[in-house]
Amino acid sequence: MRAVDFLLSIKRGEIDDVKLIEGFRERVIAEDEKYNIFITLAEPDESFPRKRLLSGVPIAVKDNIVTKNLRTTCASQVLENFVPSYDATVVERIKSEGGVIVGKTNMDEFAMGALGTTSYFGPTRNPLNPSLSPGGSSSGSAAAVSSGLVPMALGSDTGGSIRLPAAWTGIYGLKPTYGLVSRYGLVSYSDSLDQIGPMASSIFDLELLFGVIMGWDEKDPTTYDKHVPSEVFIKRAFMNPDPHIMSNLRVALLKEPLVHEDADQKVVDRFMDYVSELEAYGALVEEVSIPLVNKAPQIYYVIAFSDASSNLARFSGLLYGKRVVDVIDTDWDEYYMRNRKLFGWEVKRRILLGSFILSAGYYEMYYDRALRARAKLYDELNKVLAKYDVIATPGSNIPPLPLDFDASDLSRLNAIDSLLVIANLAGLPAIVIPLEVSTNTPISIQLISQKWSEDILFEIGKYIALYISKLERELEA
Amino acid sequence: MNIKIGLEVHVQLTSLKTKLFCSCSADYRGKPPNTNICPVCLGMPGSLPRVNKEAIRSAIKVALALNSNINQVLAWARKHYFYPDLPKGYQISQYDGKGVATFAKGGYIDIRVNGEKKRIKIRRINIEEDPARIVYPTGDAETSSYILLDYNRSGIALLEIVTEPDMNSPEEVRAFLEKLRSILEHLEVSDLSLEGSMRADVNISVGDGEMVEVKNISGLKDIEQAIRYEVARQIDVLEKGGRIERETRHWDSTRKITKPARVKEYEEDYRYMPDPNLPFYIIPDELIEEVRKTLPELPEERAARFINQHGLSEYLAHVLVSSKALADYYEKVAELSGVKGDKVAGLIVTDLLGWIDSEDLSNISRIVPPEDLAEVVKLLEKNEITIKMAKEMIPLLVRGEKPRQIIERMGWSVIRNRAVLEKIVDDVLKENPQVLKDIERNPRVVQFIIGKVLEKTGKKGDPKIIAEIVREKIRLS
Amino acid sequence: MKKIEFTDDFIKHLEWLARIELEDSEKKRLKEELALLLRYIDDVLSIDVEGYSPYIYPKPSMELREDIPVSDEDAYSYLSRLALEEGFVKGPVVIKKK
Repeated sequence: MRAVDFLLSIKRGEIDDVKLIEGFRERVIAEDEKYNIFITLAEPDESFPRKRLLSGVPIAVKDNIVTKNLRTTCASQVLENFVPSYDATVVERIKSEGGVIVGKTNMDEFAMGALGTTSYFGPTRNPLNPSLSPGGSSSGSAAAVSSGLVPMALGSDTGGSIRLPAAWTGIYGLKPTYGLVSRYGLVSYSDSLDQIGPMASSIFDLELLFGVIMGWDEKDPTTYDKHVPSEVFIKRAFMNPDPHIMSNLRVALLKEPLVHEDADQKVVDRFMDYVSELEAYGALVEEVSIPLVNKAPQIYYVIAFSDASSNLARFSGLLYGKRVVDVIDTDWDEYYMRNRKLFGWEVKRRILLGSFILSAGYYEMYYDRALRARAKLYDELNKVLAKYDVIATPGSNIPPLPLDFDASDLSRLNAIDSLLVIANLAGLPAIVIPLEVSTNTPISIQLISQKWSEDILFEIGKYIALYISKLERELEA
Repeated sequence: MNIKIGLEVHVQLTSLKTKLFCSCSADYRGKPPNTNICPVCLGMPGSLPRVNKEAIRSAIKVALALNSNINQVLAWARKHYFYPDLPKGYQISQYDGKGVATFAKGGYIDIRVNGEKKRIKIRRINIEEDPARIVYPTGDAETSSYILLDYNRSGIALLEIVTEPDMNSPEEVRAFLEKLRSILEHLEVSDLSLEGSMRADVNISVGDGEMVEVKNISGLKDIEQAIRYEVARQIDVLEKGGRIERETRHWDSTRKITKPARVKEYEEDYRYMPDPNLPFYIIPDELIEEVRKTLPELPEERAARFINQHGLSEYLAHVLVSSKALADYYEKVAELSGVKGDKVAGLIVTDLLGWIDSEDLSNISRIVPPEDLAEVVKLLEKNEITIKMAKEMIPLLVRGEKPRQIIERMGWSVIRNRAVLEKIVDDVLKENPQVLKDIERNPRVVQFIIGKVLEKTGKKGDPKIIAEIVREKIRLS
Repeated sequence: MKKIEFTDDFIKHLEWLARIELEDSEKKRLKEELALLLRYIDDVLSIDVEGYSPYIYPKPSMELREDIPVSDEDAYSYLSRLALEEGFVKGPVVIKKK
């Protein structure tokens, strides 16, 4: 059931406001065996505030977003026993609007991975096809929504971690403009790339959740205070899209992901069918080429690894988290180095390489250069967005990969990484809209727009959902 | 032998109400361990720093007072090192390079040693966060098998003031630190009498020897002692034909010696990087101008005023302004007694300071209330006591006695001091030349003079002694 | 910059920089994967970045916080899972005695 419909029914007195969370735990326990979605389940709590924007809506939260008195592991053995004493700002906002946090979802360890397979708690399976990866790193949140357990969930997106699983599980996902959603309480991976965002099975729910969590936060100095007010999104979550939006829309179709050597031709062809439909509905679609996009993942990895090595330096086992060495009869270096053996391999190798990139002599060579290349990419994307309303790519240009895919050579992920990381590197908002689902080849579209223009993305998303996509049709609002 | 000394002084901005990056109280002293903490200063996963505005104002004050050039772009860097007192694995500090900048560059402090004026150049000023406090369960680092940590101090705002190696003797270092302390006191940014509020790393090279760094010495007295020790040690080594290698040493404040630091296997590589959580802050020109306009009178100007308006000698003026408490004390005594100049200043500098521990200077008003010393000055001015008696009274005042009590106890309430009384008799005789001529005709003149003298002593002169003196004087004349 | 050779000393240096102790099998794996990863990220070196300054902050400026204390009622709970000694956190000594 869509959250927006549920909320309207409560308002009209047709339905009990605890209906969606009743028996939730039992349902999850049954489903979880199949997909391994949740790391920690919350106790069912019916004491949520009534008659608010999200009253009674069950919401799943990625396990790198801290929750007061609810274990937060980042899917790592390092934090296996970590129970935070404070709520992330987004969690506070959801709770104060009556949303019910039902559990913490599985993910790649510390959000490092594209397949949901680096979790200490084992991989999450794709509800569309359990032999496939649901995409990462917000694998559990995507599966929770895609399997129908919850209408909406929170994910985080550093280099596509909301959008790839959305694309692979046939749901909606938004990576907001950098600074539009508070990161306070999000366990940092790469601070200038990380954003929390909504994931949902309905575009209307996606907008509603975004409206609740977005906006300036005094606790996060990287949030903006000037933006489209949250009320606009909350109101529009219950409204139909502008019927004329397509006829005024200028779409830049990004060439590189379509002709990438690893792109799947069937996926690209199917995607192009939908692009033709956009044109048929009146959109102006023109192809643009930004060759730098193919090197965006390399820029991204230099920055993300370095930041990760810095951000994860705090995990020593001293103040929180797991330790394997006792404080007595050891010294600091030994204690610290041994406790950090608990990291999984993907995390270890990223910290090791990141520490190296930042070390004497290599900062200028790699990090500084990557930051300059980032400026160049930002420039090139914004030049395109000065002429077009949105840049369009497939949500993924390959079908979901099998769970045992070997990603130790990250260049093997270049096809998908390149279309995803560009929005993070440039701080731009990006939405993934499902177009059709199937057990092997879900098709979706990603739209990237100018900073602070999420409103356009939602309008187009709704239009596509109502008139173009082959999904089980969304009802009109 | 040529001695070169450079300092890296860390001072806490003790006048702030909150820590540098969080809203925990800056007043951490005396609180039970680990009660003045929050997710930010504990480096909890997900927490983010927020810069204290007042810390920036304080730093601007100091930079202006030290004639330093403030960088208009306030930027923050992460300095990575691994120590149990550093909860994030990095310290948020400032750095010159890598896309960020130091807070202020250049500047100087003028000092006086043995009447000679000398300029000590400042290299840079940075703002950074204080680590947690380490306590040794046995009271000694050598014998403790583990350590105890108190995070109440973690995140307190520090200024790091780095000098050029311009000082050539321990006396110059002392003069520099006293002057710096006085400037910070006059600016009302730091109360450096608080324990642990001033710490320094000292670089010392002697003759052709290499530079030796003595790290983390707390308090002015220990800094001076450490330098004296280290200079003597190096001279001794060189004179015996030895060599001084580049090394880091520690100050053992119990045994009052420096000793080689137990070195780690490898050098620390700080891997400085811009802190992605703290974007730039452009310090508005208006803010700097506003701070400049409200800068208080600084020690140098104050000394000039004492010399020009109070007629103080240069020496006394500079001793007084070496401590704000001392200069304030002098002004208060001068105001209360209505007497200013070397007489008052001398009583404070030559006498009172001889009885007070230099560490207790900030408490001078509590040790001898200015009202009491002002009373002594007034007594002196009214010739009720001699300067010798005043000097005798000082240690008794330090012991807590009141001027009146002392006078009573010493039997000075009736003035028996012949010298004092003789002077007054002389004055009276000088003022009444005609009485001497009448003396033969009118024996009552003696009584008249005695009366006049008594009046001048506030009826405290011993009439018997006065009569003796008067008779003697008359006989003599 | 000289070519990086994945010697045992280099791996030891990385372990120290990252403060992560590796098993022998991990060291071997790291050597293999570092070669792949570095070859990949070395593509960054071929990007012409002439005329661009580093893009560090997607939001380039920030506001400062007022100096008003807020006492945190949860202060005690942050460390509640640790075995404290008279309120202190116990930690290892900095350098162990030989």
